Amino acid sequence: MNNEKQFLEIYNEFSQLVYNLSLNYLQNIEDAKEATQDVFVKIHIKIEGFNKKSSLKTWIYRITINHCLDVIKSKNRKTRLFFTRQHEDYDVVEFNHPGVELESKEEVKKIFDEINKLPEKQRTVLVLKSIEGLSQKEIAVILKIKEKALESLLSRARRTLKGRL
Amino acid sequence: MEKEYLHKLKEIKRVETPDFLLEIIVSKIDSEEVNENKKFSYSLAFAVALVFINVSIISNYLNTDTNSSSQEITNPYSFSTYTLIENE
Repeated sequence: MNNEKQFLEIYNEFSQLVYNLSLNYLQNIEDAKEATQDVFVKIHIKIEGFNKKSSLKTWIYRITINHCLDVIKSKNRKTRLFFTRQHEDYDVVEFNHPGVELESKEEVKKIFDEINKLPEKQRTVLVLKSIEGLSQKEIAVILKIKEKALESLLSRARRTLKGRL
Repeated sequence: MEKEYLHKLKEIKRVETPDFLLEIIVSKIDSEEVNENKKFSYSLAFAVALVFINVSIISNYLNTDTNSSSQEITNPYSFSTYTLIENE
């Protein structure tokens, strides 16, 4: 493996970020582990082409988000082969999020079920803001959108959830 | 309710990455590199085979071309023979 030291440094610094973000998207330990592995393989392949226009952290956030959304899409596609789906929402095979306390598991699962029904962008904004705790400025940079657009996505996501929960 | 669910989301704790994950990632990267090398070897072998086939086609064509020109040299004799027979 080339640049082993550099890769190990990146892994040590960002593996927790990638794993937790994957958990927040996929809500299943096995899927999150798989996604983390795949994201780091991608990072290893793409790191030489990283143009440093954005920070390494932002770049890794983007790779992880895109990968998780791809995983969700491919899972939905597989389900669609057998059943006709009305929505693009993601059905978690088994809700298994180690960051959620046992006593609030059922409640949080319900919230995630509704988050999973949101359109991709609204879901991403909500995950980054409400779970990852990023600032609006950071999220706008990661998603390459203006802060105004971000505010609108966030308020739409919150309004939808408020109506459903 | 809104504040309640937002509060619940904020309560989600960050967890440690599983220990063995790095080993799996390294082995995945290695197998990815082996696959890349295999792909390169196959492409190289295919390119060499293609060059070899092209060279043999061209050399065959050139040989055939030489044979036909030698036929052209011998043809006048056969033509004269034919004329002789016809004259009979």
